[in-house]
Order: sequence, then C-alpha cells, then structure tokens
Amino acid sequence: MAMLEVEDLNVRFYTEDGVVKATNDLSYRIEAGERFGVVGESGAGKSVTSLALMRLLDDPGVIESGEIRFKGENILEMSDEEVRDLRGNEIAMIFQDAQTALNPAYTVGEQISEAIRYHLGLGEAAAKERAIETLESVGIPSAAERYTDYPHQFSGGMQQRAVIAIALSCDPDLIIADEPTTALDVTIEAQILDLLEEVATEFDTAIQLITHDLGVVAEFCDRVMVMYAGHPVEMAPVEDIYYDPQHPYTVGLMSSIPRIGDERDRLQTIPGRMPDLIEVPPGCNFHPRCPYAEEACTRTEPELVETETGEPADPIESDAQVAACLAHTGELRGELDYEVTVRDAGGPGDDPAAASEGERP
Amino acid sequence: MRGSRADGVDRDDDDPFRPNTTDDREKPRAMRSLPAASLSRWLLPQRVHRRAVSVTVETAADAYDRDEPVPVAITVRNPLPVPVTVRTRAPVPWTWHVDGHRDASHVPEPLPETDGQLVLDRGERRRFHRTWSGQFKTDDRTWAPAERGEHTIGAGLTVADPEAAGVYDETTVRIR
Repeated sequence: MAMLEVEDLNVRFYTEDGVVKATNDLSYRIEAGERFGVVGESGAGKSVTSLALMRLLDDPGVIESGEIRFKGENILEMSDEEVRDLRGNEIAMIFQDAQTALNPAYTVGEQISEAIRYHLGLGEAAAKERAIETLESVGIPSAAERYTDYPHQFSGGMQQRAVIAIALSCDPDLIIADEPTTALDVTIEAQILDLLEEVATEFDTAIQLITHDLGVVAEFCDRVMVMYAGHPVEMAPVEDIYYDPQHPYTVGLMSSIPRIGDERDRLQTIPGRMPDLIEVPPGCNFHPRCPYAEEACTRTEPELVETETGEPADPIESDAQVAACLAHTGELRGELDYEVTVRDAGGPGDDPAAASEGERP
Repeated sequence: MRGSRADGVDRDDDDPFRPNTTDDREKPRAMRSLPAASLSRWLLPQRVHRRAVSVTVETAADAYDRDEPVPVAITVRNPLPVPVTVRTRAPVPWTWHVDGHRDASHVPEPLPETDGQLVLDRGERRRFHRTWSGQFKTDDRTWAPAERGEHTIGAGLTVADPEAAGVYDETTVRIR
C-alpha cells in the first residue's frame, strides 16, 4: 500500500458560466519518501489537485467523485475534525505565496508554535523552543530573536522559509509543495530545494512538488506527472520523462526550456494556449496545439496507456511509463517523429533538464 | 463670486478646480446603499422575477460546413428597473443543447441536485459564449460529426420548465 493513492479524482467548479472540469479521472500514487513532481502550464489543474488532497477546495469547487487514500484511509470520508488532525500534522502544505499564507496579525513564531501546540500537545515553552529549532533548521539567522517578528519584518525568502518551517514543524509524512520557489530568486530557490531534499532524505518524508520549472523537477523528483487541461497526459520516472518523452505535450514543454549556449535564435514554444476548462476541445484536449494531430485525435479521447504495451495503465499499481496519446494505441496513422538530443555532460547546458529536446519536423 | 481667505488662497466660482458644492444634501443618502437585490427578492414574487428575464440564443451565421465550429452567443436580460433573482434547480444557472443533447453530448455529466440562483441587476444584460464543435459526444471517449441538415441549438435557465417559464430560446443552423 502506497502512502498516498489518488483514484479517479474529479473536481468540478459550478460557476455562472458553466461547469469547470478542473481534474478528470486523475489517478496517481506517492510512496513513502518519494519525491513526486507535478508539472504543466497554468490552469492545468495542479494546484486544484493539491488543494483537493487537503480538502481545502473553496466554494464553488466540489470533489465530484474519486478517492484520496492516505495510508489506506479515504480522506474524503473523514470528518472535519479528523481532517484537521491530519492537516499540518501528517500532511503539510507549502503554499505558493508565502506573504498571503502567513497571517499578518500574528508573529511568525506564534504561527509555527500554534501548529506544534495543537498537533503535538506541547506546552507554551516547549512549543516555542521547538519552533525556534525549526526556524533555525530552515536557515533563519538569529531565530530566537526573529521568533517575535511579524511577517512584514521578514524578506520574501525568509517568509517562504517560515512557511516551510510551519510545514516541517510537526514532522509530516507528506509535504505538498505548491510552487514553493516561484516567488524567489534562484540562489534562495536552490537553498530551499536543498532544504526540502535534506528533510526528505533525513525523515523519509514524501514530497509532492508542483512546479512550472522543469529544471527543478529534473534535479529534485523521482517520478513526474505531466498535466494538461485537468488530465494526466504522461507519468513516468524522471529519467524517462526527460530522455524518452512519450507525449507531444511533454516534448513541447522540454523543447521550450531555455539553455545556456543554445544556438537557436528563438525559443521554441507550444503554439496556442491551454483550453478553457469549461469547454475543452473534443477528442484529445491537446489536438489543437499538437503538431502530430490527425483526424482521429479530434474524434477519440486517448486513454492513459502503458507506452511499451499500449495496454490501459494503472498508475496506482504500476511504475511503468504511461501516456495518453493515440500514437500508443495504434490509432494514429503517422508517428511521433521527434528526436531527443542528449547533450554531453560537462559542456554548456549540461543541466539534465535541458538534456531532452524535441525536434519537430 | 470671488472670495479671499486668510491663508491667501483665492477661490473663484469659475475656477475649474474649485471644490464642488452639492445640491443633493436633501436626498436621503441611505437610499443609495439599499440592498436593492434583496428588497426586490423579498417584495416581488418569484414568478415576476422569472417572467422578467429573457433568454436569446444566436449564431453568427445560418449555415456552417461540416466539422466547422459554430460559435453560439447566449444572452440573458433583465429589462426591469429593479434587480431580479431567479432560483434555479442546479448550481449552474443555465444549460445549452444541440438537438436536445445537453452540451452536444449523448452522455452529459449529470448536474448535482442543489439549488442555485441567477442575479441580474436592473436592466442588466449578460452574455455567455459557447462553441459547438459540430460534433456530438457519443460515448465517454468518442465524438462523431453531426449529420448534414438542420440542427437546433437551444439554451435555457435551469428552472422546472424553462420553455413554459419563458426563459428559453433556440435557433437553427444548417450543416452543409
């Protein structure tokens, strides 16, 4: 049994304009200590998925169907009190925007020790001591003095560290990090990622990392799920995603990574934009932007299949590389004829994220 | 009138930057912040709200090629000088269909049976857009192009009998 199993998750937002299908039959699992990356453009359903895991979806968002099992127990069937015991304790979340995540009216220290007092049942003094230790562990200098600072007295990087400190304070088994480094500069980003890696290794904490940054994914994750328009389009171990992508969208994402020493005049982009989730295109949702699309792609929605065999995939039971493209079920007349060029390590642009490049015909 | 104050600032009635004098002091200011939507909801019966609202469905052209997307505009309008609130039987206030198939699908996703409402301000006109791909969803994963000929595109509020309640409209397009 995996630590987290998400099965056929369907999240809907009932708005005045129509029904927003935020996630569609989403299934995946995360093992203890595993680092699982979720990538995709804005609006792909990444953040909604993580909010659904914590049952933090706000009105008009509704989890219409599916199961979210944490250590075998369905979170969706738990009472509010049970979920509150889980949040911040066994499952912690690092939010995208630290400034918004922190309460401006309370000191940073109080916000950390509140979680410790509530979940671990420690007294005032012990909670304060532990909070200071946690602040130190995330690299806040003079943590004891900064304990009584308010969030506005922290810089952006320090605020993000404080949010990470809150998440780490109760030794969670799973951390959901929703773009934890998006608002930070690259040096702080590297430090934060090192810190997360350290925590994951030391405490065997599983991490679900949501990000736009494919470089971060290459560096940090064990397995990756690529999402498009609320659907998982590819899921595989990180090496397979980078060296052998099996979905045209993943190829597009890979070839749009800028690289130092790149000889291309212009950065390759995926033409068009993510569809409106109220009105997704028929067939394969990606077909209007796909360079390999054929008529069949406008008529049939591809299933998530194992790319080796073409058999329907079970992302909860299997680790195999899976993708949702008709090319893998033999329903496409042409082939996905892109090339993956792996640059020599040590040369310019030897970042693993840049190792894969889709050459389009 | 020209006035001069002790601070030496000249004030002239013709000066365009002179502070305004208001003559609406006598008007009851509280009236401005009356909860008009709530008041009309309490004072007017629901059938008046429903009857006030009209729905119009339009397409840019009468005929389209097979597989050509058909843009559809759905306009909901309240001509009354007071806000109206229509109670609906679903959390989405309106739905659309092609030849009676909601969302142009033979297998539409069921809507939850929770109530909703559509609030329109006085004289408000709200326009929604849909694009019919020219296909019908025939099962969970398959779409088929519409047959050549006339097809009816309709939209209505999610009330009990939208057609009888006058909150429904439809139009026809020809697929060549």
